Amino acid sequence: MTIQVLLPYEFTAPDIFPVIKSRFGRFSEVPGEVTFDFSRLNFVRPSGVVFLSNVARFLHRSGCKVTFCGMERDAECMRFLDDARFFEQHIGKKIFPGSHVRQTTQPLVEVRHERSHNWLRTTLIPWVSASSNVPEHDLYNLQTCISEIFNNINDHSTQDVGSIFAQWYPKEKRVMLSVADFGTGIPNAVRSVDPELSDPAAIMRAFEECFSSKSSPRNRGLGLFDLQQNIVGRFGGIVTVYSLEGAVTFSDFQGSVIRREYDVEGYCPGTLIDIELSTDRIEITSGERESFEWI
Amino acid sequence: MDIVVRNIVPNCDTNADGALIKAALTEHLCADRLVTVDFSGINNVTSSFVNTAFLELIEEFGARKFKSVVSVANATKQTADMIKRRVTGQTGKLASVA
Repeated sequence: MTIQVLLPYEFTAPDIFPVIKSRFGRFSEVPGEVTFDFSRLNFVRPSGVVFLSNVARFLHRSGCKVTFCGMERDAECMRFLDDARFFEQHIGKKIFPGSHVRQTTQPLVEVRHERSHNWLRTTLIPWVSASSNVPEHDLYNLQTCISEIFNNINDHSTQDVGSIFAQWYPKEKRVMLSVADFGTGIPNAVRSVDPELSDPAAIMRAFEECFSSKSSPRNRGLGLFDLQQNIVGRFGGIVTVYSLEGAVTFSDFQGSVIRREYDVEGYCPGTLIDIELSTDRIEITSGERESFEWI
Repeated sequence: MDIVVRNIVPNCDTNADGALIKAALTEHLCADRLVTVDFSGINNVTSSFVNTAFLELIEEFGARKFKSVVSVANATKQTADMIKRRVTGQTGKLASVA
């Protein structure tokens, strides 16, 4: 049986969650064939790109035949997706002959743990630095935050499926980055130690200082806490975490981190993290190294 | 005596990277020998790395001994901040338990 998935007008992950839930439920069964239809699509954000990429990759690796249609339209959103290498990765070729990676994007990349940290070091951070004129040494906190997410994905993901995509908005000096896995989801990991929590409450719990589900005995529950402290508390950015049927948004309000938890319409298998920050909030330093002792 | 991190691990991203530094430091703590951990060429460290490389040693040898034996050199601001915050936090945690 072929399942047709008509993608929504707007292509952000929260717009796709309801469509995914209505077609696949919670992925308890994988269909034999799925066609994603792009004919209605008009507007694309990084979260939509990584989310759909993960779903398509998961289905494909689970033995499902995945096809795409409605993408030959000469529309800006389709050119954007093609330039982001979405189709190159999923059907093995570009749609438009002149497609090329834009200076304002880091194209869609599959997250493989063994290569992910190096990709940050050699590709993403130099690109953010060149785009924003912020020296690389002042982006090491951002680099570490994303490394923490990669470590978290590695600790919790049963599926080797993950993607990342980044976009730079030059007028606003803003970087938007989405990273997603297809793992058990943060709420399920948290419920292994605190079974009563709802999905949004469990996500909130995962971001508390020193909370760890101890999926790895060496975890101390500081990576996700640091993520919100750095991106929101230090840089005034926004972090939104979607997982299963819950979400939490961390944002800055007059120097304090505001947390908002809510149910999502639809279903987000695994975890998707959206990071948005203005690079002009990043402090520029000399990059001098330091030595210290405790006593 | 210096431990040059870069000579042991290429980067400080994971628990596995931290475990190699922990092993090198353990010898010095056992022998009560002063040691400087040199981060030349290392740009950043994750919490996973610091948990394994430093905090486990504090649990095993005690904060006082760790702090009197181990020092840090040539750390970027991110690395220095992460290590100081984690070590201070762990020391406080152990003190409150005691």
